[in-house]
Amino acid sequence: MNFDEFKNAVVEAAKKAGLFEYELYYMEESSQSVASMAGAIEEFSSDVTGGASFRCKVGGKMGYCSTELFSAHEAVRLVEKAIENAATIETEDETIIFAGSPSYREITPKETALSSMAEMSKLALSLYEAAVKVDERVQKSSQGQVGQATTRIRLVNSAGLDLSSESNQQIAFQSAVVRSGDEQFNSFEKGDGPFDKLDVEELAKKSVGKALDKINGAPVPSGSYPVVFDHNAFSSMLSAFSGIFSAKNAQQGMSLLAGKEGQTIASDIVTLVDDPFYKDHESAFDGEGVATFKKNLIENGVFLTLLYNLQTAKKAGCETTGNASRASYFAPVEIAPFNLYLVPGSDAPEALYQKADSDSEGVALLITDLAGLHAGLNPITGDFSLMASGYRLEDGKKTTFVNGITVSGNFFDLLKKIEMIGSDLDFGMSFGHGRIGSPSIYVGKLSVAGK
Amino acid sequence: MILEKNFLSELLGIGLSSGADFAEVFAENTLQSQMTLTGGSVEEIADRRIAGVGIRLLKGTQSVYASTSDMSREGLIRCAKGAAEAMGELKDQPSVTLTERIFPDIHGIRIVPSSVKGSDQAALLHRAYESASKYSKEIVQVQSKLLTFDRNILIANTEGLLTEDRQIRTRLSVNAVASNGSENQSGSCAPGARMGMELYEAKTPEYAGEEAARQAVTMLHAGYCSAGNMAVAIENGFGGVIFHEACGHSLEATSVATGRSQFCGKLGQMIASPIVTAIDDGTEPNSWGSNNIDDEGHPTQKLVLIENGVLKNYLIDRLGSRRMGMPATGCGRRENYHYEPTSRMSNTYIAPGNDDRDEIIGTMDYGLYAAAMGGGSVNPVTGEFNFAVREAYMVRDGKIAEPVRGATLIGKGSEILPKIDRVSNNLDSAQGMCGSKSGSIPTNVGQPLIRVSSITVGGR
Repeated sequence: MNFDEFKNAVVEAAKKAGLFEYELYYMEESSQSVASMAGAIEEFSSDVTGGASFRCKVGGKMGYCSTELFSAHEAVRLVEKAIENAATIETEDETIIFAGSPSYREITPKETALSSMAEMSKLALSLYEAAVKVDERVQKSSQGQVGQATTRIRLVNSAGLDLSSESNQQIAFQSAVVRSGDEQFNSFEKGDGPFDKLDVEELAKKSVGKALDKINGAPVPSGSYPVVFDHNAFSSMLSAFSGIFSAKNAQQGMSLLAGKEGQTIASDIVTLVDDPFYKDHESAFDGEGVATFKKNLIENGVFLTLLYNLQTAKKAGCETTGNASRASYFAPVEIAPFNLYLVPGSDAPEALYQKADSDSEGVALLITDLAGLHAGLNPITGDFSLMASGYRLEDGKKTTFVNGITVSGNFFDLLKKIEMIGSDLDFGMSFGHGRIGSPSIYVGKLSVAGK
Repeated sequence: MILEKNFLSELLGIGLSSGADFAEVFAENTLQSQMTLTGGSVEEIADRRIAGVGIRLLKGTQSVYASTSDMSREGLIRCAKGAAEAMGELKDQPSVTLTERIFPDIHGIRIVPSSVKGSDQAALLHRAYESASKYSKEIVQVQSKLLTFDRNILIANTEGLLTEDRQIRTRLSVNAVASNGSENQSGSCAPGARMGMELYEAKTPEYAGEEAARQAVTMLHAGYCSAGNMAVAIENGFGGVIFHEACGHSLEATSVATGRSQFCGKLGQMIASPIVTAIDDGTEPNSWGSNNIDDEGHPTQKLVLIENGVLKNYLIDRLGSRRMGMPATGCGRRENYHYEPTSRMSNTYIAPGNDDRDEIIGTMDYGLYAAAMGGGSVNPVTGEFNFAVREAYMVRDGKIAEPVRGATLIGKGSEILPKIDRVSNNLDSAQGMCGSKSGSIPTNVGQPLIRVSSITVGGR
């Protein structure tokens, strides 16, 4: 049965079970991807998934159950299992099935038209061919990959809310492998869609250039050096620490930001925004059906607000910030930003390089990549110790490649140490409906382990 | 059967009509549950059914994979036709004969998780919570999670194979936070197995809770690790993540077959110290990373990867086998039907050596003792790896001294393996979730205590 038939079967089962408050959240994702290797199309894949999560309130407790199987029998099981789960829940926090916001912002549909498999194959091949043309050291193991996805969401509940949204996304990757003597080096660059606006040559140049830079990479001696993080490195770190802004983590003692509203937690040039309407990545409602809005989390260094959903807001005695998040149809309601970014400054990145260089006693570094973010940092304490790579900064310019080093510090200290913010805002990979962005930042000295 | 035999033949026939030389249907019906207890109360239960089909076509080294959650007849025919059209022009539909086969099941399950009441599952989480909380007044938060998986898969392919398997797993993970008011540190312990709820009779929730709390409190009283190059002794169990990252991923056909591995063309060569023997064994009864068959229908194997320092085998899946011209090794795995299978590790470990653990540490002048490792990652092309040390101590004059926090180990697999200068005899394994191209899957890592003569330690 299709979703509408399944929805009707679930509603009927819910009514039969005597439920008054419940919700069905449906997500359908259809995606295709093509990969080229050694000049030929090697892999096609396509996926169509529809899944639904049912949740209901029984005795004030919320029970969940989700499924990808849409049948009359499964509709009944879904409701029964959610009721059973509600009975096992012990937290006393009030849960809410939302009746709807007064109004929702109209979202202009994106112009991204989906491409055919043939068009995607052509693009994947051209990504590979463009890379090979850049330099003779580029290997056959280089890859071009393109993917596109359409996501449809529907939220229907017992309070009469019925919301839906649809979005398209296209993305391309260029992964170059170069050889020098006995050693291979690689790089990975993404090109945000839509495909027809993608500059294949430029992406290949960037990707191959980065791989070639690595050929003469070497660590610097261990020490404490002035460090600039480029937009990619800092947005990935911000992403790994984004959980500190969740009111749920704060209420559970898992975030050091709990109770810090109104205090200065960052240098006065730092303003951190969550904007659900940032271009090409808009969401009118959150995972609970609340209308979204733009807000500053940090303004000129002062911490203003955590991110809330209905449950945590109720507990804190404030309004929700419309940040209920469902990373997938089966994920329970969590809290996450939509488009979270550090507001850019007016300096070109080179001005930050210049400053780092002038503060150095020989070595200044530009960090462009951080690895092991899932393991080498602790969102609860703010401590990080991460494998990094990037460039030396000399005479205000990036020069030789640096790898095999780690940078260490504490994220909360780092926020206070931000001395300069560049103008080059860019976003990292999206996760669920969220993206995190940053310009380049200069943070003064950090501890570096090298040779 | 998740799908009827005749219908499976029909789907495979549609696949072959495209000129593909191999077609496979993978159907799945999995129940997955995660119960979370935070601060002494059950806070959340996420129950999920994963149900759908993945259809794969191969033609030489080219692959097409199409998956769908729509298991209606029309939905699956649409999926098969879509895959076939991506492969080539549709011609006559050949007939495919399937012979059902039942592989031996070596992983007995005494208590199937779904037959245990929610309140009894919650009781396990409460026991872990109590044990962690009472460990110290400094423990301010405890979160424990109970995960259960009941995975039912069906594989049918144009070699005539039709088989099913049921895979049950459970894991209890405890995360404890210790605080002195201004600083927080965390600790964790997460035992799991390809077992039912009987696992918690041997691996008690009390043990997991206490271990997580002990780690958090120890790290709260630790100073920061200083950075530099030094000798590092890595304890058994989850310490095996060093081999998993520094070497294991680069031995998977996913990297090797496409020329994207530091170990391409190195079979028969010395890539590690002669005291290193490493094994991937998907057949260990009831181990977290074990299976009867892989997700391509091959029986799992015990495979020697490195023997006395010499590279003996790669981990090869069906597509990798075609690309490399070598036989598959029963390691084609995937998180679920949304993913095309690829070569993955199962239970990977460094075999026990002859050295005594205490003697190894006793002969270190200065260095780091990594008592418990965190996670890590690797770039298989270059072999550059990194991982976090959850619990570490400085070693001075052969003695384990003060605890240190914030240590990270980085290096290159091909450079670290020859630097392993001691391997002790206390082999033990621990559980992890390994992420790669075909999703996140359960794998065991293991080793006895080993020593690396010099490695870059990140700290401050």
